[in-house]
Amino acid sequence: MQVRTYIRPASLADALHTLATVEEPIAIIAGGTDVLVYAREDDRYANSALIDIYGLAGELGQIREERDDLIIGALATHAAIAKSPLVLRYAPILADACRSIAAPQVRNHATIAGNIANASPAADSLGALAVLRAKVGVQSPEGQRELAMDQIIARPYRNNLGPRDLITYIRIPKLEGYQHMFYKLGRRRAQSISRMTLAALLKRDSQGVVEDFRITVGATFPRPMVFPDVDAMLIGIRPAQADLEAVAKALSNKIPEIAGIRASTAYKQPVCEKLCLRILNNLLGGDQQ
Amino acid sequence: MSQVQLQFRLNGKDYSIQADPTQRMVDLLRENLHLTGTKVGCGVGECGACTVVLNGEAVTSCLVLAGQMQGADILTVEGLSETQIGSILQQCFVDGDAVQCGFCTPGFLMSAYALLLHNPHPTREEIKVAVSGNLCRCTGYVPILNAIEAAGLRLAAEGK
Amino acid sequence: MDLNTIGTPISGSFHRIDAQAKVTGRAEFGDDLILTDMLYCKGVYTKYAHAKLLSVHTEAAEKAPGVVCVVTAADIPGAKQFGELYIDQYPLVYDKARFLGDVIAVVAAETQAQADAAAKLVTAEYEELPVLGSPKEAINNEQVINPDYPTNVCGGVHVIKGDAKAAMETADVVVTGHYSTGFVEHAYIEPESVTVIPSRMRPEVTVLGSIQAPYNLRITLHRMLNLPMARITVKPSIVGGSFGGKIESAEALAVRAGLVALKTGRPAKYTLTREESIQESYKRHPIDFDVTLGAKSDGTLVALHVEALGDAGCYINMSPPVMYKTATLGPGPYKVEHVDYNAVAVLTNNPHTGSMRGFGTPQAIFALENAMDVLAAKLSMTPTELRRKNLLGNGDISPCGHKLDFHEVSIRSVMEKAAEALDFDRKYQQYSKENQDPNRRIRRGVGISVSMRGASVGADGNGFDYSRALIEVEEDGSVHVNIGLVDLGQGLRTCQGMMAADMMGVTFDRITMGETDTSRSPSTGACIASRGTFVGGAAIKSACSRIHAIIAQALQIHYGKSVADIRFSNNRVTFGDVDIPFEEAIHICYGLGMPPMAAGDNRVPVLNWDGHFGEPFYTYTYSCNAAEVEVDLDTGSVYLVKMVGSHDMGRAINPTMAEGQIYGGMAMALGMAVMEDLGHNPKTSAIKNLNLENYLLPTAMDFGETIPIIDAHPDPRSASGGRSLGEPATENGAAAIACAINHALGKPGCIHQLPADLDRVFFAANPPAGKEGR
Repeated sequence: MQVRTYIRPASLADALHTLATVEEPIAIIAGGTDVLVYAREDDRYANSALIDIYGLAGELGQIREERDDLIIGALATHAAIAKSPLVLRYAPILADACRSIAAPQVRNHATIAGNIANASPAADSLGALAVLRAKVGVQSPEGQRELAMDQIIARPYRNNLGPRDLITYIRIPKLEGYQHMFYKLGRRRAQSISRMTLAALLKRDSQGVVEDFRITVGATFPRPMVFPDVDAMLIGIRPAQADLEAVAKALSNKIPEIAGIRASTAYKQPVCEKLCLRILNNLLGGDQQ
Repeated sequence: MSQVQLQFRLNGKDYSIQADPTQRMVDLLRENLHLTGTKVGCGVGECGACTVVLNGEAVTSCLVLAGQMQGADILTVEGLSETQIGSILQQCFVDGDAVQCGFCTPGFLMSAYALLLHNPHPTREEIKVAVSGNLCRCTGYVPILNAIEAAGLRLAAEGK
Repeated sequence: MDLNTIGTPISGSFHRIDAQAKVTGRAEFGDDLILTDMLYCKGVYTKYAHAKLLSVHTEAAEKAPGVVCVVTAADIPGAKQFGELYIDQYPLVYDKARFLGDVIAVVAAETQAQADAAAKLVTAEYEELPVLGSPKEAINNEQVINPDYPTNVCGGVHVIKGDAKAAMETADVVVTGHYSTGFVEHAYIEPESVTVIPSRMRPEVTVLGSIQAPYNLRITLHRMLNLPMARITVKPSIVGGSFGGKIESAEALAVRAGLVALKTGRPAKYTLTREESIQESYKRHPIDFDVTLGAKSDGTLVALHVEALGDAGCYINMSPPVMYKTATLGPGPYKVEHVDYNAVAVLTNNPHTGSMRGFGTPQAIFALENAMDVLAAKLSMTPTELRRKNLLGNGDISPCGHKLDFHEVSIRSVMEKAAEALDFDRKYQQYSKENQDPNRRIRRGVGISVSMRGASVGADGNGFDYSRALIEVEEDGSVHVNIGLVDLGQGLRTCQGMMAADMMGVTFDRITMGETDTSRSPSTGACIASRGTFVGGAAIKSACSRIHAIIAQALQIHYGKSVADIRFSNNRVTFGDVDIPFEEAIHICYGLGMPPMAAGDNRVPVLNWDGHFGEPFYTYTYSCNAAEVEVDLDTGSVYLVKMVGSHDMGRAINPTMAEGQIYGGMAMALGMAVMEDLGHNPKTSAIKNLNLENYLLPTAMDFGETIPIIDAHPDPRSASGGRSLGEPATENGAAAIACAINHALGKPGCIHQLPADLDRVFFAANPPAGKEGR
């Protein structure tokens, strides 16, 4: 690919120093599964300093616990997340989402931070991260901050990160006692760009009263969305079929409300409603995991 | 882009070469090293014809930067015969008529190699997942899945 | 022909002869060729789909780093156009651009990256013309794509048997339907790559690469580069899949690279990216069908009337012969007395359409079999009942008027075997009942389709239907076979070798199959139209017979006795009381100065066809696909649970490889049925899905079980007993899958457009208010 300079920092500190000092426009490459696709489309990186952080996986690729949170290193690959015992225990919906992304070869190399930074509306991990209320840890020469999923992405393929920002980790509050469902609708069964995803988390008490509920739709909105108003519809009640139908209706109504009426709305809105209802029925009919 | 010194292990041999780190790994393999067994079918990581094994995992070498080969251990189709799993896979592909035009074959072999490396006795479903990033237009996949299944059984018989 | 004269019956699952090279990465495909002084080419595409090209500016590109030359149409010394049957394709735009895959200039540089970079510096001036994006718009439009075809109609075939219009009046039930299919990409996993190497001695070139039709390519280079054909050698590399797609596509690259090679005196390689391949290569024809089908109340078909409108795209390419197969094979393997099948192709500014596995029939079978299911439902018959009622048998007259009294007309048996393997009749009843429950949102359905496939080219191109083979027996008794029909991955070389071994009377290990080389293998037409095994086998047999005659003559001289009863079998030659090893007989030949070498040839007999009626093909393969699908009514998602492909290909020369063809054919049919979509925009003629992340092929995860069935009845009209399988393997699969989806939805014929993607299936299952039943 065409770039001005190629820099391979030896450590996170080195990377931060590079980010602070480099003069050219900055392009960060991790797994590279998006960057190398863009590089064949045009010369957009021709004047950039390409900073290759893939070698920092030792520092930035770990998955660990930090009290009530799960910390996923920015360079953890989708394959590593999908099979991480910690993720499978505390955030299995993320494992499911990561397992559904692209093909094994891409999952083995593409990183979770790259998926976030690329900000594709069809990225499968984003919906799961949104319902998990994940926070993205960002470091820059100015310091460190955390952003929520709906803050970090501005619109399709545009994140809210500054040129010298580096995603270093994803913080996910550990969840226990939740049921989850990640549903991916694609035009084929493997390595498919999502037509729509649904991610749902549900926690009920022993009486069947919903303690917590979170649902979102992916590959549909310009950025990852959370819908506290929809979530609230089930919290505190023992849902009857009519309640589930109301949730499905409310969720699917978000599509024209937020994304506007498009050619795809005639398909996506009813499909979203039907899938939402199916998922809720599955969750409520099934056992807690 | 200027060249840098890259050191890596490839098909069991140590390499130290001058190369452009911003080229694709597949171009380094094919153009610099003339290892043309690794194919380019799409350039966007969809067809899997360029699959190689990088540090024990299958990756599409059209989406890996050459600079990321630094320090890595890489296996391509040219090195497959030197491995137990690889040579069994090759024989099972020939025996099971899993090869037609053959353009996708190296990629399938490498995905299958990575699978058997970690999971010597995969189920049919696990095999399908492992090669779901490899497209074949000739065989309808069944002979390929059968061949990988047979290789798993042969490995089991050989006590792997 | 007496089949018993062919030594031991040909059959055996030998491994394909190139498998070892292919599993080790040693097999050399087009782009694998690396030469020290090689140049790399890059094409510059037109900006507009339809526009006069006023000027091309190459100066900036010529000055770019590494660039050695830039060529345009002005550099072509000979004719500006090429084509197999119709000479109307421009490898470089001369007067006007006709589609977005047209190339206006080619940059050649020391490296691919330099060529790619410099290509961006080429600019041009155009005068835009209106874009004709669909046949309906193009037909009789005042804008004309090609002045030789003022209505934009570029060919067609009208099959007429009896009087369909009058007969339709006598039918008890008449069904009508409109069906349409989209562009389908060959999607060989290897993008096209061609290298032209100039001779250092004289004006002469050698061409390597992904080439399906080497002799046609030679004619094209002869016409355009003004080289004598004898000075053009074509040696196809290992071809990474073709499916009919690497004929004209490879020729365009060879012309462009050839110009560079002749201008610079250096080898020039031209490899397409996937995006370029999808942009400029030809496709399967989209065809619209209006079908009217009439039957008696007992299900007996009375009349079939079809109007088919195909999109030829911007070049005629193979459109007329494709329409020939649509019209002659579209009526299916049914007894129907009155047929009016009119297939017409129209020029547009779309990607041109040409030969692709099936060649006009997958679309037609999809339309007809849908109509058959609609008819069956109207008659309260099951799909198999209606088909059983009407399938052809021995001695019957085909829909085009061909009396089928020369081989076993096995379509009934072929269909029953498929139906049985799928358990079709039971499942049909079971799912029909289950699917009446409106709460069942994930439904199953089964579908079945049948076809008869003309082996080889057929009456519209009888003259092309010849083949030749050159066989030389070396002094040690090893046999060198040269045949110009290229192995495209299907294993043709292996089959040819097996036939050669059998016909020569030696074991397979004695045979060496030469790679196609036009300077050594005699011109033999192209490996197209499912003719490789069929006509190739006949040429090999002819060569073997001539070699046997040479050996017999030598032995008669040597032994001085009659060789009337000479036989060649299993590496031995026997006559009278003599029984010697084959190599000893060959040694005797050489000793007498009679080295056995012979060219064999074969021509398919002239067929009795008047343009509308008669014998459209010499013989036929019979096929049936049965499919079971699961359809999610809430999403429109379709999953192929199980599929059976049952075929009578005459004889399966290599049964394992034949099964491989059938497996692959089913997967290709699945793609056409439910997911493959170019994203073509009929307003701009642009293609949206230019790479494989959006142009979706089935993966290993996209289906459950596929089962091949071989129901072979050796054909007396074939030298080997074998007919053809490549195209039959895929041609009726999409129809079976579509019929199965319709069954799951409980609405025969409701999937009337392919691919049956999420949206189409969803809206068929959940019609928008007021649009129920279309």
